[in-house]
Amino acid sequence: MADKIKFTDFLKEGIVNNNPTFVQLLGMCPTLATSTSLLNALGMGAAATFVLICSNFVISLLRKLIPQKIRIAAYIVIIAGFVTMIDLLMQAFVPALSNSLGLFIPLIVVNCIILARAESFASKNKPLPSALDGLTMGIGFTIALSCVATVREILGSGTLLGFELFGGAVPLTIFALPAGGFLVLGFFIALVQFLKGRKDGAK
Amino acid sequence: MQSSSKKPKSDILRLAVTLCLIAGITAALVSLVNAITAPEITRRNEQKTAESLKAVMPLADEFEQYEYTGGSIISDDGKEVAVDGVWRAKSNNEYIGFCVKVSPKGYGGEIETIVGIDNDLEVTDTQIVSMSETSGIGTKIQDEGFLSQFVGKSGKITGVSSAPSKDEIQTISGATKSSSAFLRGINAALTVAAQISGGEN
Repeated sequence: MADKIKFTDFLKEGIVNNNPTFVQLLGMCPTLATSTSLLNALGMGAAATFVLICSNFVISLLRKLIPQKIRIAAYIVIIAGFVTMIDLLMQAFVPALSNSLGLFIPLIVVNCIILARAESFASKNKPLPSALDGLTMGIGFTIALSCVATVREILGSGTLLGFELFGGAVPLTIFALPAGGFLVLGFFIALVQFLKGRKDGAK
Repeated sequence: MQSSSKKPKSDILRLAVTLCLIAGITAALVSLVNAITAPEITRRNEQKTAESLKAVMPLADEFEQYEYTGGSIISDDGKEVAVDGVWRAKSNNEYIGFCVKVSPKGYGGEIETIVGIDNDLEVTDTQIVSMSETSGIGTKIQDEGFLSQFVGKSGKITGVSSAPSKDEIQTISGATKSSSAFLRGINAALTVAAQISGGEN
């Protein structure tokens, strides 16, 4: 029972209170680059979540063995290993997704969400909570990406998950471009801050 | 850290050994995954190429790799277009045309394209294998309306922004760079095909 309560706490932390994208403002580059379509966002989110869980788990396991001085180098090596694995697996088994995400899969290595969670959580906690933290942070990242991507895909390309919504007409191409990405992201961050502020005010 | 009281020399050694161990184990695991996925990735790539060849030259029943030694093609505006491969398309053991794989540089990177060209040096069809153009803008070069313009064209094709006449195609407004790059690729492929068939006559 105690574990169950903890899981919901983790989930709340990852998705709302400490959402990696909307609250911690980490991983802005992949957020902007891969949120042009919902499918890309889901693929990116899933890949990042996989890496987060694995790297958090392994780093937490090794947290007492890795000397303080070389911890960042060790983390990067572990993270890069997992990223390369998921990159190869995606190329082999989901080539379509791997094509559209392109360079952004290898770039998960330097995604600050992963390093931040390794440094601030996994290096101080036991393996299972760390894996759980990776999962919930990954879910939070995926949800945030999907929110931005849904708006951008509908407004920017006139499609959702590849289905045409307005008979092939493209409403506002700017939303498919980086500028539109910043706009949508900004509005979402504002919305989350507004909701959080209202909740805190009510207390 | 419990090691801070130790001598610095052994400390450095410990750091190096730990990092080496981590790197070594990671490398071993990655190579394991690579061993599993490499055949699958190669197979997918070959299958993809085979499908694209068939798509641009539906009449052919066999494709024969051709040793093209001409290197890359320099287009009229001085840009280099890499030639990745040339195939000779066969039907009933007769040569019916060429398939040329080119990768002109677009706005976001190389646009890998396979161009089918028949013996009259006319484009039969084109297929984009991979590209990294801006989603929603540069990716419009994949639209049927744009690609179908090339079918039946020969010689040197020019891109115009208004209604095209013979040997002209209309570039995509807003995606001029991507569509011009694609056009460069097609022209390069036509040049290659002309070189090969010219060399034989």
